[in-house]
Amino acid sequence: MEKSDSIFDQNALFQHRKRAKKEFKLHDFMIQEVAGRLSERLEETNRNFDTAIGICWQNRILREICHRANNIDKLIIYNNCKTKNSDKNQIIAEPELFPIAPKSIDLFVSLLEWHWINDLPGVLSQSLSALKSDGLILGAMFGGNTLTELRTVLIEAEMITKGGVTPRIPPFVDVETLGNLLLRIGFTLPVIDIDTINVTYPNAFKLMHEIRGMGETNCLTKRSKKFTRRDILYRAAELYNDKYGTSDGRINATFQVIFFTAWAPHHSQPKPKKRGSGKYSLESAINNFEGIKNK
Amino acid sequence: MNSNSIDSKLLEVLVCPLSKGPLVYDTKMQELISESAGLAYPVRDGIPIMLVEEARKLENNK
Repeated sequence: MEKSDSIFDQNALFQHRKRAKKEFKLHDFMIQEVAGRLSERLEETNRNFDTAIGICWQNRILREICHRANNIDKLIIYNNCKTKNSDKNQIIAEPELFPIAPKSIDLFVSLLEWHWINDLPGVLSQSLSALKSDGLILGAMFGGNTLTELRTVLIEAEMITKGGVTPRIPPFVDVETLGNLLLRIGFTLPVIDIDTINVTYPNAFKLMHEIRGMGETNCLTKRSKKFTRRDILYRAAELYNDKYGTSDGRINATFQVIFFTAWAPHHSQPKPKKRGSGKYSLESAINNFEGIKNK
Repeated sequence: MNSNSIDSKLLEVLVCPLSKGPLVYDTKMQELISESAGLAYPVRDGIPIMLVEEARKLENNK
């Protein structure tokens, strides 16, 4: 059910992941790193969750980190890329059509999935309605500065050799937008933080190989369906070396990961007081403070 | 209950992805039936496949 005006081509994503599945272990460095950091955040919540839904195409990695955090009784994997595995506690479903009953879940965990989602507000809103009151959503997704170096050199190389560019690296959400979105949808107490993970590779080709191995190849609907010309790739690799090379002959690649937590509303959560409900004037508070300071 | 049945906790949280309506589990046919959407979703090896493209259209007997 792919709409042609969607930003991302979900079928392409399934294909890329299917291709990456076999040798994923060789390229799981980034997801393992992010998973570890997500697990710490899960532990820090200091809560126990009865039923959780976990979204990550690498269900084994997600199970491992949830096991490590040790505060979930039942983890159900939401398999959204139609890949087969024998995990019994899983649901196979469309990425953007949740088959989950309202107020039935205590926790949603999303690990590096939602940067490929077309309708992020829709997915967040479906998550909120599936959560019980005081339920938690916890997620990690790639943010705006991810692969900024590669994006720059590919655009430049394509401009030089072809005189035009094709879309290659997806639009990522930024922190402010995500924060506003969570609040607008009705989540409370959102906390968003960014980790920048710098990785070095021997050269741009190795980096591109890794991205492919991660199953994260470009799946923009408007991507060029042809193979990239060899001269463009070589030019981009050269530019990459010149601009972002390290002193020991490798190249730098930036991955920016946005971590977010937010809660389904509950009366026990702290809330701002109603406007006009204050009983103490600001003026006297300031005067009082000045008085103390001048003593 | 055989080993190919859906886990009871999974059944509790599942609804039809299209109509968000309730599902009835047909253990003999291994299907999850959504009356409201007129679809039956298959269950394979205990795993519910909640994909519209995989679902069987219910015949209208009324």
